[in-house]
Amino acid sequence: MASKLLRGAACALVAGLIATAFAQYGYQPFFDQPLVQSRAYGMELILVRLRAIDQFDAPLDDDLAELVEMLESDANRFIGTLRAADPELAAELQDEIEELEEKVEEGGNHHGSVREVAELTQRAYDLIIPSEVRRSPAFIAALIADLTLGEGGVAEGYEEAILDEEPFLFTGGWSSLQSVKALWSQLRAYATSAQAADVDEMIAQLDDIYFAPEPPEPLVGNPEEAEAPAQRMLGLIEPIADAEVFAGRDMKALAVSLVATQAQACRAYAAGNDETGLEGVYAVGEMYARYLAGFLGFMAPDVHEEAAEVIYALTGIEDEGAEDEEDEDDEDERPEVADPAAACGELLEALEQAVEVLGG
Amino acid sequence: MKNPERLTPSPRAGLLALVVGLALTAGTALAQDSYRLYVANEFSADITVIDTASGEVIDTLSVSGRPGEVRPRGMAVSPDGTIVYASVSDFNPVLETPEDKIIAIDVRTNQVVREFRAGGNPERVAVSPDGTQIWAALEAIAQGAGYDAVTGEQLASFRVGVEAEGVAVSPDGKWVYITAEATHTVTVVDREALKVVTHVLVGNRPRVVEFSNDGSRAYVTAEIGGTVSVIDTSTHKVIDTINLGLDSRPVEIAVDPTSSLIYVAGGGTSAVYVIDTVTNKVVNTIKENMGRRPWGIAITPDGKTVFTANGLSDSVSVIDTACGCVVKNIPAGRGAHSAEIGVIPGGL
Repeated sequence: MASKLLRGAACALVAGLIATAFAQYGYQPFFDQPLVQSRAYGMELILVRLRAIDQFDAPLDDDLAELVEMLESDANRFIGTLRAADPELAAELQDEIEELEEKVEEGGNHHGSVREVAELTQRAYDLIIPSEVRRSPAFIAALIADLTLGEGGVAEGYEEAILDEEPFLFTGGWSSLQSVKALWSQLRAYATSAQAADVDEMIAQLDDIYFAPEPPEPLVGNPEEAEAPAQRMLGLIEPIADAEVFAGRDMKALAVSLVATQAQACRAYAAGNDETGLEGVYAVGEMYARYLAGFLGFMAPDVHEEAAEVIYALTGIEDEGAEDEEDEDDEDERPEVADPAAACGELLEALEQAVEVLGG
Repeated sequence: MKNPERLTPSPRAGLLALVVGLALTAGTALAQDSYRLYVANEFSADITVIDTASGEVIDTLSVSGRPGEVRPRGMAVSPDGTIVYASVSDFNPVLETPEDKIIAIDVRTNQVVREFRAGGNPERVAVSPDGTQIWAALEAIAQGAGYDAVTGEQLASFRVGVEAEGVAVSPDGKWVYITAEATHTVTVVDREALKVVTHVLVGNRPRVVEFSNDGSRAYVTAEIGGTVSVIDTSTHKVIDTINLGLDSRPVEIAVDPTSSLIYVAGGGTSAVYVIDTVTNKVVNTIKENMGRRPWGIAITPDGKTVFTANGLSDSVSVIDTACGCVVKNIPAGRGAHSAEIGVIPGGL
């Protein structure tokens, strides 16, 4: 175990060197502060889902109700840190999420409960993400990237709504876009007028696509319609924020960075702090699914299978390929993890192998 | 013309010299070839045809009556320059509709003279140096496939990386290189043995691959990576990576048949990057007066003019390679995506 941790530390050093060597921008938020970004993304996801369901009155469509079921998982991205900072607030947030779930399940009026959860989430945000971090362009840009490229986000929400024939994923994408616009308003001050005009143009295109919270009927057309302006928007935002937000540009560096984060998570598990450990696995799982799963699934399927299995079991995060397979095979039940600490170690090993596959 | 092999698989420069030599020897005024630029417009589902000499739009070929649902994308030209092939597919990759096809356009008449099914969302196409085969990157099913250019019969198909995108056949006809966006790979197919040789990791989100005139190198753009990977085709290994900047978003490549230069369309910066392949350095960046988001790019066989298909300004920028400057912008259809140059031997 010790040697593995040493390896992890060495790898982290290498990651820093690699990242520095190729960096064009001053900041690499997904490398510099992966856990901070992941926690903030968890809170943003909660706010996105709340905004989406708040557009509709009870009883909610089953697909919208599924958004509510995701809140618990979203909270897992930061609840350990929140509990350490304010155990009462953490407990209150979890209770309110549970209450909201029950209300939605019963078909009761959910709007009041939505406001409660949103308020608690904002308090959590204020507490666990320092204000100087929240104001930093790199942090904001990374969140925009998360809300754009993440599952159900601006780029993917539209595609998934059409391809999966789940119209209310459109609403999730719409809500993500509202968050992106709010974040962009904070970043705008750092842009030249030409840069701002370019970003505004991309956002206007996205606004046209997501013209209302309600999904259009029928929802047909180009599933990737939102992807092009979304990707271009991110490309424009990078120089504005002086931050690299496509964490997978250098996959080897990313894999090495994930090993370091995962090693930290496993140390938390070993110390009996499962919630904090799980936060780390979420941070790793998100980046793995978004940037490494495609390549490893193709070039090193054994390594990928091991990593993807543990990530899914612990977090429910899946890469696009796995989702497609699942669609074909009907939904698999997420397996219970008897020993999360051991699972954490298995994922760490798989990630170390991934580094080797990538030439580390 | 991204990598045209006119008449025979031998290097183009030699052929041009041969043609010029024959003309001089004969002592007759040999009529000059005329060129037509074809621009595939993704959103208007048509192909704009431009006379390269006058810069005038001379035709607009409808590809489908369902713009917004069906789109033309990548194109390639036959070795003699007289047939332009275009890949046509549905926007929705899950659909298996008859629109997944490859069409062949006669450059002289601008008529579609052949079309054949290429299921699986063909994104880009390439022609073998002898002109007998068309190779396609089938985006939705992660395959590269070869077809008989005349009958359309599928000759072979191979699993490649996820979201196959770019495809090129080496000038000696030995190799087919196929890029894959989501796995960041290039799959190398031995065209004679019809087997996959290897997969090569390149920059992030590889788009287009083109071979050098002598076939010793392959160049692969990486849109997110902002790079051009240089592959030694004798080993199929990346031997250099040319950094264009993370904001460059490079896509199509035009290989100058008359020099060591390649021209790369930089969609992110609305620029064309000129790279000298001797040093693998950017020797010029053309930005002034460029249309917005150049995505497609093509060069005339005489190497004198480069055209870009600009997706955000729905236009074509014309670059005089002598000055390295944009001399004209021409309107195209909506979502100009790819550019290719056809030849009318001896002119019209």
